[in-house]
Amino acid sequence: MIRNNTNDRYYKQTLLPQIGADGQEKLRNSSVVIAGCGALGTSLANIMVRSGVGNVKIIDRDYIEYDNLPRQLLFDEEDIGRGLPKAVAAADKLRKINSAVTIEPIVADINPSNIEGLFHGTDLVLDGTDNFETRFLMNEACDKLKIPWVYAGVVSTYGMIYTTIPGKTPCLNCFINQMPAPGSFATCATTGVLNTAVNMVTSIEATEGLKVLVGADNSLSEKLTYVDVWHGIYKSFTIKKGDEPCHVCDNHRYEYLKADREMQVISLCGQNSVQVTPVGVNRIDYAELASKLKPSGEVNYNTHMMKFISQLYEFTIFPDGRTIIKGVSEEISAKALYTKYIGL
Amino acid sequence: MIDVTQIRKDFPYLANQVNGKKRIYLDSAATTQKPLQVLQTINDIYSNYNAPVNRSASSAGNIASSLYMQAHENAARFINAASYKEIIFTKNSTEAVNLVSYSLINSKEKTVGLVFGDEIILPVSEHHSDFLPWTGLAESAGITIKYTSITPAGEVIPEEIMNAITKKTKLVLCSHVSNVLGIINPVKEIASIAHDAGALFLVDATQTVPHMPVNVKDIGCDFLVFSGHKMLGPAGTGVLYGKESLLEKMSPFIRGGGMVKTAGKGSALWSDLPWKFEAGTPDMCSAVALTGAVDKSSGKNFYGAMDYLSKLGMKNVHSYEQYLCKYALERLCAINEITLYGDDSPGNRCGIISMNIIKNRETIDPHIIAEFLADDGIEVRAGGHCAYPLMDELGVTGTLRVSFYIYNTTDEIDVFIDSIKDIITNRLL
Repeated sequence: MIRNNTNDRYYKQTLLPQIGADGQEKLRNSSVVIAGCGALGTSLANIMVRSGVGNVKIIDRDYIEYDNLPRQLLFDEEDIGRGLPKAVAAADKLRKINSAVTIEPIVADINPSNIEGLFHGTDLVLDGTDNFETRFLMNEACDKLKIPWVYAGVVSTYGMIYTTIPGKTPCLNCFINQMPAPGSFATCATTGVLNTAVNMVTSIEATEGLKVLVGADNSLSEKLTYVDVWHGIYKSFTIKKGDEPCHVCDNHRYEYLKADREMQVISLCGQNSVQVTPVGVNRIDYAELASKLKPSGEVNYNTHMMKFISQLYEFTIFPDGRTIIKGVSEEISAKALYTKYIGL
Repeated sequence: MIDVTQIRKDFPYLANQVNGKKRIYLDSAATTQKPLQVLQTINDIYSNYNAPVNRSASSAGNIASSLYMQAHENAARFINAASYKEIIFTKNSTEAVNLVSYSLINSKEKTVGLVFGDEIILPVSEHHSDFLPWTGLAESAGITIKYTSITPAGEVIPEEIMNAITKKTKLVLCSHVSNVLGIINPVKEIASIAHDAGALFLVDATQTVPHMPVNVKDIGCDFLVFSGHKMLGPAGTGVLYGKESLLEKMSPFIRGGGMVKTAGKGSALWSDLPWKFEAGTPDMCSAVALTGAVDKSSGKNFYGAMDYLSKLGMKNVHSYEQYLCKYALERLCAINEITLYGDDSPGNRCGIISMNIIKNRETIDPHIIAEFLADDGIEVRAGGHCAYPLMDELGVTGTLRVSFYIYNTTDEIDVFIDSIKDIITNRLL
């Protein structure tokens, strides 16, 4: 008889002393973000979902193409015919593999205005991206939000993996302290990549991730791992912090997160109201804001919305900072009102 | 019959999630989603059939010209126009109305031209794209625009139009269905009223051609406009239908390449219909994605949005939307805090419902409700719906509008109703 219960499904994992029943339960209660769903991301998502990590968020902006199929193991030709985004196709397939896992596909470009919202509340971020700009952004976001993350890159027949635990281990910026100039680094598009190298890298990267999730911090490599599957090379390098303090993990001064941090201001259809959507706000503390606003007008709130009425304007403030300001029609005035009363 | 489970497989947009919740799209009156078949046509044309239309004698050019001609023929068939000559492709309904206004006001032919002292009549409930194209031009040409009143429920009153008509009335304009209220207006009756007075009649069928059978001969209109993006087709496609005898007399709106037989420094001889109104290289690909066409040399079939709808049957599309509308109206009527606009009997409606929520005697800004719905993955429209004069008549600044199409389900309406109830009870102050 084929049974589908947790004990049976993960029997061979719980048998391992490194995981055990406790570790399996930790995985079930964990959440992971897979940033990028290409060669690395599909493999990582596949491992996380099959391992029974309870919540898996898959973020990718692209659609599937034929030249993805040699490596990106969750996709097939039918998916291309259906014109699906990678994140959605991956989620569809993985739900068939493990229906107990909550899988959230997000078709989005990871950028300074959305990264904190996307990563907020997760236990781990796994790097499946293909560019250093996003990695440096992830490095800053993870430092700010104190989320462990595993960097990985693969090209040709080799790859690298490194785990950062904010507050404990050096960060990406400590060993690559300047973003490589465009064109100065080999990329899969210019050099090619072997599918077995991808699997080698994701095996190590996902293992590091599982260690984080089960709390086996002592087993983390704390080293930059280099592997070359063709030439049979496996090396580890100790990362030492430089003499100068790191602006990311020592001083918490963020350059990538700051970029493009413009709030969105849109005049609403109808009459005389404008919506302001700030960036980088995770949740507004209504009690704190209410005490700040009370001297200027009437304030009312519950857990879902706050209404603030000043002499001429009516503000409806949502928990994530989105605000509709009634009584104003110019976007620039709305922005000024938002900054004045709610602040950034 | 409409097999909605099957239909939904053709729309990848609907399979996406928003905030970890199933996306529910209830804004098809603004724009509809596009089926894979239409996307495939766009891909096929740009991959293998992209060539200049009506400009090249190469074999690829000939095929492209043939496809574009078929687009006119198929669009004509879809609304029962007499021939392809009566179909002019535009950017959208808005451009089509602008074409008519500009052309009528600038035409030198006395039988069609609008001149100083003439009048235009339209109900006050019209969309901005039906009255704004006339206002500036009319003012400078000394033409009067008369707005007729509507019932408190927002319906057009044919008698009001009849009463407003004078000997100077040259044109009556009316939407087939209001984009705010969803009510089907008696356009056949209004056509008779206009024609009895010797006036022309223009129907804005943007909210009906996608949703029910529309027959220009049966309505008896002189002009009719609709947009392709509201009927599964690409954005940037619109159609102006005009009676051939009228279009022949009208001057072109936009001038340029492809619309003259000969041109000199001081003169030009316009091309035949419909080309004299289609200056510049046309968007053949989008037109074909809207209407469908066949490459007759190879037999390759390009599936268009109109093919998709015709296969379902426009009568079936209409009944299915009425079924959804009735289902939603019954549930909405049961919620005390909701005020519905327009007649709440579904018999005379397309799948559009406008409402507001009143809590503690205060009308809640519909944008607030729309934001809460968006948190639940439900996409609707809030605001004045480009019909501010109608909003003034209704005494509101905006409404919350939901609109249905072939891919919506009663399950989705249930989620929407549950969300609305939860917003009223738990989320609003």
